[in-house]
Amino acid sequence: MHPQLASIFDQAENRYLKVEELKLISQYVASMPERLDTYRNLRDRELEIMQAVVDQLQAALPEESEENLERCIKHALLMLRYCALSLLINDESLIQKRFLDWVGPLAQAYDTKTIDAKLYRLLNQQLAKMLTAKQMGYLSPGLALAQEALLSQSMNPAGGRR
Amino acid sequence: MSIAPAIDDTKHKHPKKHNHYDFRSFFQFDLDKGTIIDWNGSQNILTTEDFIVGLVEGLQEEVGDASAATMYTIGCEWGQKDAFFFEKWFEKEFDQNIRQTNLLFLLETWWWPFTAQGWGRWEVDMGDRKQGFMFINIFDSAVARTLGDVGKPVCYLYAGLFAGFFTELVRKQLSCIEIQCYSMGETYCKFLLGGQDRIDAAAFWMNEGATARDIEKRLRAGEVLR
Amino acid sequence: MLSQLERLSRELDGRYASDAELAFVIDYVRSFNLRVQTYQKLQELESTIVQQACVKMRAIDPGVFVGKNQEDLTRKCVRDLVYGLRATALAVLLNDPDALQEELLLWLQTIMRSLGKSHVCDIMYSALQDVIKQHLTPPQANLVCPLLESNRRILGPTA
Repeated sequence: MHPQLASIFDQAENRYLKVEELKLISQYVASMPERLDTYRNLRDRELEIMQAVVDQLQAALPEESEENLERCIKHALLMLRYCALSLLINDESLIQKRFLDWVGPLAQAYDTKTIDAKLYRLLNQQLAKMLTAKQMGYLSPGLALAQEALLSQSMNPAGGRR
Repeated sequence: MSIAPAIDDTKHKHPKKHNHYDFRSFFQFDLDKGTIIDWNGSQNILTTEDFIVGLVEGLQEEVGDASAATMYTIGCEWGQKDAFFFEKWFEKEFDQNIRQTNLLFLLETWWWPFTAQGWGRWEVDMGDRKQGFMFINIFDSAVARTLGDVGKPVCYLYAGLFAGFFTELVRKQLSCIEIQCYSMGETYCKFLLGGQDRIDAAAFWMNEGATARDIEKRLRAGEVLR
Repeated sequence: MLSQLERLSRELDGRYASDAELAFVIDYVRSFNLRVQTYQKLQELESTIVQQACVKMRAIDPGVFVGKNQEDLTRKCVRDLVYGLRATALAVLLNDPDALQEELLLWLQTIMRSLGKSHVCDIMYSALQDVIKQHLTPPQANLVCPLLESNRRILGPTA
């Protein structure tokens, strides 16, 4: 749940909600149809989106092993799914807790930054094609958060690839 | 990179909220420290059924038939320690001495953290209190549900817990025995709590094949072991 | 709705939700305006509802506010009534009967039983349903009364 909403209920403690608090809930509910559309669009076109990205990525990085590419694509797929969920529930902290916290160390261990940088560029281009501007508006903040977090990680101090 | 999570601290916002036993309110997860602290300040760990199986079977392997008595003893110690712990937090939460509180209310309050932690729900039958014994029912015993139908009682930890706790509470030596168990195909577990003579009698009758109902009847009729 | 959403989020665990799994969200969005309306009406009419519920409770059982030692329990009962009503109102707003049960009712049930107050709860939530029906429109009452009835069943004496 969005932390702001959560805190409303934490504080509400058996009193009625104030007008501003009701407004916040109303806003979230009003945005629900669009969030649902965005979520379903991402879901229904996942294969289409990822296939295009995979094809382009393979072409762009012919020297990379299939294993490495696959790993990065799997992570990107998960990233997209968690970002989708996060926009549905309107809770960005979900991305950190349910995705970054465990994929982050993996990405670092396997040092996937080079591939990821290219992958994300292709992915974002693809998404911009498949989603409306409004839908991108819902997705972008969480997606940017996830991508920046993974790309900004310093290399594994032990050095080199696994 | 890691965003320090805000600790969801219901207790600090509403310290006097007595209905705080739902999962999110009762437990405080600190991702940074990796701790789970509950409303009363106790540290908790999350375990799966594998843990319970490992505990029971491991003990069985180590000490064989003595595992039942060992678990009971562990339970007793736990119950005794918990009595002191409980007294402190109860008096803090309700501004009331435990010995001046409605007994049933006190007991329900004592057991709620256990329910929140997954030990099961209970029902206390104090109808025979004047005769010096009482019954406790446990629904969804964590141990019994985990082990399933193994044809014998398994909730020694619970029996010990009750014995230890109630002994401290009433300041009289009490023992406890499980007279009916989910692990014997019953729908819930039933415990008898009372003086050693009552427990010995129940154990003897159980050995002879008496059901929980039989035992209840005999105790209420005043039967004893000669 | 919110706790259902949270539960769904946990169950999904890295996959997408199906349309069937999302249906409750759509239902909630559709019912939202009515829920807000109902919530605000309950807030507006709270003191009237409470007052009339007390009258009704006494009509059902004249001794309902009298304690074992003949003490007057009216204030305590009113406090419980208000608490329950507000918690129920929130559950109506959020369409979250599960949260109401887990956060309040299951605990309250054991407490009320231990204090011998189950029959008072039975009367209380019966009375409330009658009073609500008098003041809310049928669609509004249909959101509230099922929760009040569920409260009555959980908090009242066992069969």
